[in-house]
Order: sequence, then C-alpha cells, then structure tokens
Amino acid sequence: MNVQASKGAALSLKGVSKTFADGTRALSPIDLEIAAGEQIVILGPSGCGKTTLLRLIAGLETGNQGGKIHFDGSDVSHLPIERRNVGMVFQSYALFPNMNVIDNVGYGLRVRGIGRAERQAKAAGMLDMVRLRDLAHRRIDQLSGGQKQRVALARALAVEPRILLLDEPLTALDASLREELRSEIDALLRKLQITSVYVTHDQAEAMVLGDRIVVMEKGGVAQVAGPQDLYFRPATRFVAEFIGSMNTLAGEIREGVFVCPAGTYPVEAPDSASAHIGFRPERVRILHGQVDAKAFRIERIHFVGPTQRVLLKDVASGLTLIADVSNHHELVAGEDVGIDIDPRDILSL
Amino acid sequence: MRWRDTWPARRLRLLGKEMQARLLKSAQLVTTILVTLFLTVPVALSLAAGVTSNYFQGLRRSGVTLAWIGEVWSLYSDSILLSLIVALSTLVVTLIIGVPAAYTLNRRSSRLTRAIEEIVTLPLAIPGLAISLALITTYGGYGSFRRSWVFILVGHVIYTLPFMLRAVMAVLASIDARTLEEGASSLGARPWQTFLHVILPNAFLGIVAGSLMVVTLSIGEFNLTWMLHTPLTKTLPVGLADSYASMRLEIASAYTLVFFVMIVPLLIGLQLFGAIVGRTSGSPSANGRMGA
Repeated sequence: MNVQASKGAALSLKGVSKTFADGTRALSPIDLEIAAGEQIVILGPSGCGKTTLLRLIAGLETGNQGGKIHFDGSDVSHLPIERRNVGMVFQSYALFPNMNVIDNVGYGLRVRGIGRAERQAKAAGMLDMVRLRDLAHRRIDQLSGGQKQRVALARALAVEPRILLLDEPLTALDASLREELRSEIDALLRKLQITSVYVTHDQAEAMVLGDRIVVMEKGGVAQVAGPQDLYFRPATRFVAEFIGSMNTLAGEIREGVFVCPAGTYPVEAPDSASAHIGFRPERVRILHGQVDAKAFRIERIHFVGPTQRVLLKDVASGLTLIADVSNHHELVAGEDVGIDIDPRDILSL
Repeated sequence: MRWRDTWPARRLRLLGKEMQARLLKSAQLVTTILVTLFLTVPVALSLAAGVTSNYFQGLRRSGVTLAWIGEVWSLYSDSILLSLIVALSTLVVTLIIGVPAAYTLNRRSSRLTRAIEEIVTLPLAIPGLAISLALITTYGGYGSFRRSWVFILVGHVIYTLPFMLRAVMAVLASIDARTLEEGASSLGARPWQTFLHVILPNAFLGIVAGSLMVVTLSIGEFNLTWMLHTPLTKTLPVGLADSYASMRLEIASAYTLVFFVMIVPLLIGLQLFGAIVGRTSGSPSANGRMGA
C-alpha cells in the first residue's frame, strides 16, 4: 500500500501566544522550529499550556495577534483546522460511532471526494499497517481502548497529513498496553518519517518518542533539547526536577565551592549567595566499610528490581538525599555510610 | 421440657413472619390493582360511553353504536385535521430552529449561551394563558395573522421548543459532540459535512425523542390553544372542550375515543421508528442512553 508517500512538513512557530477570552494567559509568546520528519514531544505538567500549543498548531484554537505558524514556509495562521491538512489523534479517540472501523479510517478521503472503492482500498491498507484489518467491519463500540486508538491513528494517517498531532493518545489506556502501543507508534512514525508533535505529561513517553522534547512550564518553554541533553544538561531547576529524579541542594557558592549544611562540593560556577546544585541519584556512590566521614545514615531501602533506591539522611542537618545503587550492594537500613559524587556529575541549577 | 416449650413458639414466630410477608405482598397487589382501576376505569367508561346508544340507559340496554363517532367526524374532522397540520408544522419549525440552536449552544458555552438557554426554557414555567395573552396583545391587531392557524402554530412553537432544545442538547453532550466535531474537521470535513455526516447521525435518537415530545405536546395542547383559536381554527382539544360544553355526553365521549385512537398509534409509531432507525444507524451507545 501507498503509505510511505508523505514525509511531512517543516513547522515554524513565531511569537505564538494565547490569551483566553476571560483574560487567562495560557501561552507566552513561543518560537519553535521543527524540521520536516522530526518527532517532537511537548512535555509538561497539567495546566502548563502544552495542549493549548498543540491546538494552536492544529488550528482548533486561534492565537493572539502577531503570532505566526508556518507549514513548509506557508502561513497557516489564519486557516481553520480543516484546511491545514493535519492529522490529529485525541485522548478520547473521537471515533465516529455511526460508522464502522473502515468507514472511520476512510472518512478523511470521503470528504476529499475520493470514490468509495479507492478509499476502501486505501483504508484497508492503513488498517493493515496498524494490524487491524480483521476488524474492518466492526462497530466502534466493539473495540478495546488500544484498538480504538490504533483506528484513530490509521484514520489520521490515511489523509497523508503534513503534520501528525497527538494529544495524550495513551493516557486513557492501561499501563501495560500503553507501553506496547508507545513502541508501535514510535516504529510507525519512524517508518513513515512524518513530522509529528506529541503531547504528554509522561516523561517516559517523552524520552522514548522524542527526537527533541519541548519541556513546558507555566505557559512558556523551559527547554527544548534531545532526551540526553535534557537529562544530563537541564537548563533550569524545573527541568532538572521534572525529568527523572534529582537531588537538589540549596546553599551558597564561594570561590568555586558550593557550601551547604550537608557539606561542600566543588562546582564550576560564579560566586553566589543563594545557589542550587543537583545530582542524579544514580551518580551517588555509597561508601561503607572503612570510611572516615560517615555523615549519612540509611533511612530506608526500596528494592526496585534492577536497582535499589536508598534514602539517606544527613545526621547533622537532617537533609535527605536519594541514591540509586545496583541491586547487589549489600546495605541495611540504619547503617552509617559516606557518599561520594564525581564533581563532573554536579549540576549548578 | 424447655425444648418442647420453645420449639412450637419459634415455629409460630417463623410462621408469623412468613404470613406477614405474604400479607404484605397481597396488600401491595391489592393496592396496585385498586389504584390502576381508579385510573383506568374512567378511561374505559369514557371510551365505552362513546359507543353507547344512550348513556342514561346504559350500554347493555341501549346497545352499541358507531353513530356518535360518525357524528364527531362530521362535526370535528376539520379540527382533527388542523391538529395534525399544526402538530407536524410545529415539529418542522422546532426541528429547523431547535436542532441548529442546540448545536450552537452546545458548541459555544458562554454566559450568553447559558442565558439564551434559560430564556428559551422560560415558557415551561409561564402559564400558557399568559403566553397567549402576550401574543394576542402584541399581534392581535394583525387580523389575517390572528385569524389563521399560523397564530396557533406560533404559540405551539414557543411552548414546545424548549423540549426539543433540551432533548437535542442532552444527546449532544452525551455523544461528546465537540470532540467528534474536532475529529471530523481535523480530517478535512467542512462544518456542514461535519454536521451532516457526524453530528446528525449520532444525535439522531435525541432528535427523535425531542420530536416525539413536540408532536404529543402539540396535539394535546389546550391552554394556549384555547386562547389563540378562532371558531374557524379549532384544534382537537379545543373541539373536545367545545363538545363537552355543548354536545351530548355520548358525542364528547366518542370524541375522546377518536382522540385516543389517533394519538396512541402515533406515539407507538414514533417510538418504533426511533428504535428501528437507532438499530440500523448503528449507534447503540446512544440507543442505550435514550432507550432508558
């Protein structure tokens, strides 16, 4: 089937912002360039404006004056959604209960005036792609959640959209199914090389799916970066704490040394009276046995499986840190230990 | 000794309980039958009176006749016809106004749309007499309008529109029409295509429910109509009042019979139509909701 046809459009946002009718500022002006075929994930907590941004790209919302949205260089800012040729996948599926599976998938072709035979053939090909050919004549209410979302995906892709937009497509599904469908979506998008914008609040989803991830906070963009950069070089404290786990310490920096009640750590940052540093739990080395400085006491150990998460308490200051260590470390709660962190793993936030 | 004492006592107590339950059940049955009879006997008597030659002699002595029904037909066939015309016209108008209005009100939820919804619903709380009085004082001067059946139609539309509006709005909310619409337009459907292909078929059962309501209300409406009618624009219920007031009891009863025979098949027919279309249009979710 002819499904590898479109490569998708490049997307450019310039000064796109949104204030709702009641005066709420949903989005501060945002600039964003997305390359053709790129897989972008917009990640953020609820209420950060990520869905609003997606709906602006889709054309379901109109942005404030002055903002510009271009698909492949052509201005679509004033086009309604039906004229933008985007594909959209909704959290609640938005499948039409009055049509069966194959008619749902073929609907976009129907409104484009494509004849019945041709659109049935095309729709059948799309259903092959999501492995649902057998269910072509089922009614929508006879499908499971995962099947529904695959039908919705096939339907959105059938029109060969310039950009595929996905609004938390897996949120309504069970955890196990979510992971399975996540890899399926990823494989499909990579095969089709379609430009896609995927909104989620789930960082695991974002890390797996995103070529780049746009982290949003309170209606603005906190950082745009690939998964590794985001993890190892978070631009702000918000990003550092939102992506993965992070130990954050507050203190001051004097002559290249961070000073806080739980000790001193060398950092590469200018002097500051109020500074934060952070380090990932898996970068904490626990020193036990013959160690001089046993400042920390093991409060609790959570055995996760591949690793174990250790809650450490600084005896003097009461400060708690977490450390993820390998599962064959033999540690016991109540034990006094020291910690060691490579200065290169310490981030100044 | 004690065992022999307590055993029959317990047995008796158990028996007592069983008896009590059985008694209660019988009492419930009797009450239900009495209440049902209280409500249905007048209907049956009234219907029987319509085919009795002479009511004061009784059905058995004077015999059965269809003469009164014939008389009703010759006297009031115009009213019956007019009622049907008014009811169907009311349905058409409420569909044309109500469905798009419900669609719009559902789409844009703002203070204004909520206010409009309330205002449209207001006629439910206002006595029909007051509505008709307002219509008469405002438009009574336009003679040909006042004299035509369209005047009654206006009153009926005002009175029945909220029922259509509510029924359609309820079904639109239950099918999550906004998301369906966004889905359709994301696939390139123009607003009219979205409305025709997606919203209308999925809201169909709600629209049928609303239509059923409107037609029944319009056919039975007396309050407003009594004020709005002229001797030449009498509807079924107005004719009924007229026959009660000025004709033999047998004619009035035959009239009731005609009314009954007309409205019951109409209601059943509309219900069946809704059920059949609901099944074939394949929206069982809406079916389940509306069927209850």
